[in-house]
Amino acid sequence: MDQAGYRQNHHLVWTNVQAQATSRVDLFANLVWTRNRAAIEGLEYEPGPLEAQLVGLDYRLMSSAFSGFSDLKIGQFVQTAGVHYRLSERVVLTGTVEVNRYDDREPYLFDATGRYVSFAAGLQFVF
Amino acid sequence: MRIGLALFALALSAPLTAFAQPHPGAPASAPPAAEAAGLPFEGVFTFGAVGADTSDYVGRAAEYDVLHTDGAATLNAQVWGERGRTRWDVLARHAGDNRDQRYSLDLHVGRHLKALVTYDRAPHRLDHDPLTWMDASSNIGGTFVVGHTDHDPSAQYALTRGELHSRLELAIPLRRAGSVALFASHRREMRDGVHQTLTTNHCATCHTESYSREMNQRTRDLLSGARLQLEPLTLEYSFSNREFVEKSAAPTNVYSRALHPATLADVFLNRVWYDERAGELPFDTVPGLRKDGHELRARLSLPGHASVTGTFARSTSRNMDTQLEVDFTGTSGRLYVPIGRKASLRAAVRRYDIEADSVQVDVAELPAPAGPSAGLTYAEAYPQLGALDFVRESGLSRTPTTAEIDLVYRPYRRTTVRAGYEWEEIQRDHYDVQRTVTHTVRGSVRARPWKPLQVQARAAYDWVRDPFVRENAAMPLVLQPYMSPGNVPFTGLQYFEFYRTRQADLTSSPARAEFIEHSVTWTPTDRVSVMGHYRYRHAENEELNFSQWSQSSHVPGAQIWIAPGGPIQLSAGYTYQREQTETGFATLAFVG
Repeated sequence: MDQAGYRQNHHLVWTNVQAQATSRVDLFANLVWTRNRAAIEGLEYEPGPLEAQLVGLDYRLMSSAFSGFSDLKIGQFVQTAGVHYRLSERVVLTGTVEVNRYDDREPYLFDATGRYVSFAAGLQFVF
Repeated sequence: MRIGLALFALALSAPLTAFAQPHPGAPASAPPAAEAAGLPFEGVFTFGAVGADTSDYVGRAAEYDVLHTDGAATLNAQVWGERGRTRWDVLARHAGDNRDQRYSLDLHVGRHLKALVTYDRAPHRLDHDPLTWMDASSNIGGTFVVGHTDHDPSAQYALTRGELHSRLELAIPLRRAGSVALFASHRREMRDGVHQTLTTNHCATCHTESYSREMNQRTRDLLSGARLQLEPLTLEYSFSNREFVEKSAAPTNVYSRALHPATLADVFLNRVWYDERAGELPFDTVPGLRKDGHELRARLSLPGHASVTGTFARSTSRNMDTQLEVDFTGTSGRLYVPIGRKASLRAAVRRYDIEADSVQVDVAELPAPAGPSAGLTYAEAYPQLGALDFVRESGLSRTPTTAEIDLVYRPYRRTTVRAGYEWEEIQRDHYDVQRTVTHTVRGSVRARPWKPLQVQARAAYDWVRDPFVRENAAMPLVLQPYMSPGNVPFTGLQYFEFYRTRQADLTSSPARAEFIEHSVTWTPTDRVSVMGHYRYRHAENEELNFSQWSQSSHVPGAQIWIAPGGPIQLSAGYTYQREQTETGFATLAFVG
């Protein structure tokens, strides 16, 4: 019986910054980046003691190609930035932008690559 | 008023968190909280708007988000206050869509009454597998192909999860030093939506069919009990009840005829339980569940700050469709004894028993309509198969027992050393491996050898005798290394004959396992902090008869936080994970 393996590698990087630019303005930003890889290794379809190749099967093709069907290569990038502007002691104006990108570089069942950009703005009252 | 809570509420109510998309890292600075003149409450209201632009497939990028490509208004309100001995907190958040909301009420009346009610709703996008990747054909003719049918190809799948949770606790002081508390809670979880469900034909072509399956699931948890505190004894009893139901009907499918895939001869009916002739059959059925449980806890304070605790629990879970039950009975005890001023001893034992019902399985035996076995069931055509009906004994039935002891020693200030040993035995009523014993030794140290430097490390090692293994799972004897006479499936070796000669044991449970983790935190000033950490785990089983199993993982990482001066804060981090698994591999016709 053959030995086969499954290997995974994951990288995660994140940063965050917050700053009070002026007495009325606060700024913030953060970033998250991930890179993920996974693959089957060492998969061999050995016929063993079988005298002839079974009808409909290609051992060499199966050994070289089948393990690659499960390979995964995924990356994700999320960037957020925003600002708070203090109009008065009780009123704050806020705004935020987020960029989120998902990269499916080795589609498994289907290509899951996608991206969105979101915006938010608001007025805050403290009482 | 509570300035700290006001600042937290302001940060929480910023559009960053008031809207659907999660936005970590909002600044902590906020306008100073205002005390409303003459009013016993404070609060924050936030009105806003959100919008989004999307590209390609967003099911993964926004898996738990609602994206408002047409824009939406949002509202967030938080009010808190106190009057006399009564305190309250109220939160309401609507992120522009009914699928993304949160509300809560937290009420305290003196020290006697606590009430909490929360309601949350959040979305979850689900994938739609197009199944186009599986279409293939063979070179041996007939219908020997792999294919699919998607009955709802344009469907977009998603579900919304909602939860309503309420809890009430009433404390009644006793004349002597002590109290009685009565508590009750209710939780209702709702999962609504549509997801993809698959089913596959067998013994004809490999034809997978995809349907849209509605989900309308309700889970209700009820908990009630009482707690008596009468120093040095504390007793608590609780009763719990859970009911789960899927209100949507299961989908149905008409399966293909059990034909020989190359010749299309109608000769395989006696090898299957059902096919096209059985008509529409349900699949992806979700049974209802009911679970009732009782739990009794006790704690006794002993002289010298020692203590002993014990629990007893019993529950019954029932599948409401089949009426099959699983009974759980468990007890545990824990002892804590200080030894002088620098050491302590902790010991614990636990034993529980799980009994799951057995099932009588009556196999449908259909006669073949044509071919060499015409008019015969499969067992009649091949008498060496024997009887097919069987009793399925449950592998869930087992009795684990654990005993552990830990010694904690503090030789210096800010230094703690811990060493321990654990013994575990699992007895199984109906399984290949009836008894598994695990010995674990473990240790940890936490120290601050230098004021700006803190170190932590821990390690554990397991020895397992007779780990969980599936015996004779793969690798049959080679009984017929050539095509059957006439190149037909009726003569020669049958599947059940060579499956019965499987020799190889397989497992994903280790016979040995080691774990190491350590971290270092360096804080040279009150404006800089650097942390590094590393975690390693290796597990292996070299006791299998024809293969080996192993799994290793390495997880190093580091973080830094800097406040260089003024109103700026920076933080960053990196984590890497590498994991590798090795196992024996077997497939049908290749030592499978």
